[in-house]
Amino acid sequence: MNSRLTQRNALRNGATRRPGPRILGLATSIAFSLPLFLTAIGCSDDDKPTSPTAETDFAPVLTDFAEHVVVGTYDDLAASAARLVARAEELEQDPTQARLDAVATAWLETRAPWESSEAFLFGPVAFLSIDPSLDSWPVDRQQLSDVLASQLELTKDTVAEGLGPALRGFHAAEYLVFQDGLVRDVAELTQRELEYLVATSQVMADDAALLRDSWTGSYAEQFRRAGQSGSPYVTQRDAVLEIVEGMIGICDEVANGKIADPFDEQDTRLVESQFSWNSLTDFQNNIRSVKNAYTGGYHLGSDGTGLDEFVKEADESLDARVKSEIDAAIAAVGAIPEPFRNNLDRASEIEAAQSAIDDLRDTLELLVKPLLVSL
Amino acid sequence: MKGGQRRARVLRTASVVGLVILAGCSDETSTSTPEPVDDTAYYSGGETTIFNATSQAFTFPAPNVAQVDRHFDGDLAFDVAFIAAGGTVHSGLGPVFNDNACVACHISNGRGRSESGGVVGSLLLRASVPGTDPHGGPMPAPGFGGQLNDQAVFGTVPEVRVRVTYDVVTRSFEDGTTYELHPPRYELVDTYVPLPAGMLLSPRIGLPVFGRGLLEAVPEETILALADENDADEDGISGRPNWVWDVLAEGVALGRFGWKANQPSLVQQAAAAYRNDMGITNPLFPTESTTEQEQHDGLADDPEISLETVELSAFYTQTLAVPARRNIHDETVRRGERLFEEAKCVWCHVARLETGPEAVDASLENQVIHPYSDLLLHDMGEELADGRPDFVATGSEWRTPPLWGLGLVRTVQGEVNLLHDGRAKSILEAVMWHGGEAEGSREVVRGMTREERAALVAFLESL
Repeated sequence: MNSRLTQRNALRNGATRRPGPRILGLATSIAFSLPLFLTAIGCSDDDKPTSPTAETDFAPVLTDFAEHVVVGTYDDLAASAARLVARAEELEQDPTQARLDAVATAWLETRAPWESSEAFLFGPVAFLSIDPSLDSWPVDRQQLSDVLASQLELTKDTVAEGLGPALRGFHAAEYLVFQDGLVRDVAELTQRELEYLVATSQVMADDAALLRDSWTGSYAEQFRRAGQSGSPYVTQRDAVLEIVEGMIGICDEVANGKIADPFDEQDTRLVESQFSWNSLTDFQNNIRSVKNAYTGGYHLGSDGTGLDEFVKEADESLDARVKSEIDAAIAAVGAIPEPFRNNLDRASEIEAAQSAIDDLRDTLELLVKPLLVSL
Repeated sequence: MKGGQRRARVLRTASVVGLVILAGCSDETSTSTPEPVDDTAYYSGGETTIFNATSQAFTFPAPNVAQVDRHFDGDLAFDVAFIAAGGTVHSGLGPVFNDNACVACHISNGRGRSESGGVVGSLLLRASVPGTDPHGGPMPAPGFGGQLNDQAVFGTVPEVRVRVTYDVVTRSFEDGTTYELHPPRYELVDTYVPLPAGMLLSPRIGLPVFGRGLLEAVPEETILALADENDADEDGISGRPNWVWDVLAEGVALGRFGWKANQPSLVQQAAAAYRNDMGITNPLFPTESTTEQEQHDGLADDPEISLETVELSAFYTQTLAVPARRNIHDETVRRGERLFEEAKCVWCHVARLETGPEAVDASLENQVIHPYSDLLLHDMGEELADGRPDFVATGSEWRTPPLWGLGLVRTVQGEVNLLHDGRAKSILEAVMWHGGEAEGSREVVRGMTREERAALVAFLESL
């Protein structure tokens, strides 16, 4: 443990991905521009041609974000997780390769909305620890193999209550269904594995339904009513910041966690979604969730009222920059050769992807956030 | 998902912008009040303060942190989710444990959940039997150790399952308005061996982890000067330091952290949590909690993490930003602050402390901070007592918990669950649970008008 950590630290400290001066430069320019900024938006004087200041009404953004983006994504997640259960149950009844392939497809179709939700890992998903329950990594393969070798009755309840988060969720199911990027040979699956797959899918579907219901039940309302009594957000601005922090957070997680951890250590064991070779798709969907959160849209052709409209009104070029950096980040991740776990030596593509995501994150952190706070 | 969120190695200067605007704009309407509030009151954590009132409010690095890389390395260590011994990475969990990651009991770096579906959430029960260990601490309970672990790796039986239910007690303010308190009732079921006779239990919920480096940097003499062990000034409020065992220094030290101030340092606090909560042995606590118990794993893999890892995750907590106050110019908030002072709440919830000239990071040095705590033990009365002594702390004494960030608890974790076991579902409930040395203050609140109570709560929510 110690030597690995030391190694990683050496790598981290030695291999600075980001040119420090550039970041500092950007940050410093903001700090220096602060007095100007204040003058521009100072609101105590009536004679100032102030920007919208305190009257900016973000309610349409908050509403579309909560009810369109978040609930829309979680609706898809819950529906696809329910389909995963159905396919797993069919497989258990009659284990054919076609049915296992159908399970694999259902897993991928459930994975997509989940990864597309990671720009908003706040609210019930955090409060109720649904994130670790659905998506803990690594899978505890040692314990899983012990469980499979045991006499423990494999039901939804035993998985949900008796076994920890490292033994359930997406990656436990993935481990049972995929191997080396391919759907496993159905003949290899034991009866115990089939039972476990059903049970763990059922727990996933329950988690997904709980998540959707928590938002539709009350949290979407609480979020949308930011600034009013009953909402955990004292001001609308706080809720807007929550959206932005979520976007920044997932950029960080992808560039500096999901990609950096295995890359810095050159350790394939740290790659998420490595049994299905779905890692790069995961990462791209993560960045797509940033786009959804920013534009208030979910699914093509259903663009809602998003933060982009406020950014655009205040600074058209910044809005264009955000959107082009989102697209560039998705493209740069796509430029890493599949599968990620077998290409940890492709430093130039990997670093380019990290850099593209970091650019987006910097823009959100250092330009978009202050702008929205000032509106 | 791997634990909590990561943070890029960019300091969050942008948030300072938010502050200035807040200070400069939205509160201007209240400038007619006679005594303008000094804007420094926003800065609960001095220069470590961050202006953010989102659910991420407890997760930012202090904007002035000096050892930036070390903070982020600490973030990674704090984020790890452990798996059982023999696993590929981050292994060593258990064999018995309470949860598998720091963030499981410190949701978004805040508090834990007290209850989930009728059993305890990330709340745990400390256990002991009468008597003291060789260092004056609680005597571990035979078969269970110092803490009940309600989870286990496969093949090992959880020591116990803990059911919790809440009674409802209805009481009244002097104006006739009623309020409810919810005393918890714990039931231990499925114990893997019979419980020892006379077992003493203390429920504890995870505390927010930010601002702790500042509290660690408050000079010992400052804290001791606030103590009034024998109530020499006869004000009914004593305030006692806890004196606890420092494992690294192998000596007695002032306790500062935990619900009973039973940990002298954040490194030791982190090390104890690794071992006791997750079953991750480390150089400070190198043996599994199951040692000499039936379920000992017998593996020669201890310590499972290095001192450096413990220090890194401690450093992460030491250098987290403190969220700024909100609405300090609001008239109701200001009225509430005066009521808080008049009710003598500030005698224990001390509003202003200064850190010393030396700390683990330069960001923590010479800071004026507003934790609203004296870090001392106070008798809180029978209704809150756990009956389990912890070093010097008696069964009815608790450390004054810091109040900074109080108004963000619901934003950060979706529910309010205050006090050591999360029993208080609102700030006012928590106030009305106060007893013992705080009984007088509580009775002042009982006598308040509805408007005064609302103002008091508005003040507390501004923290």
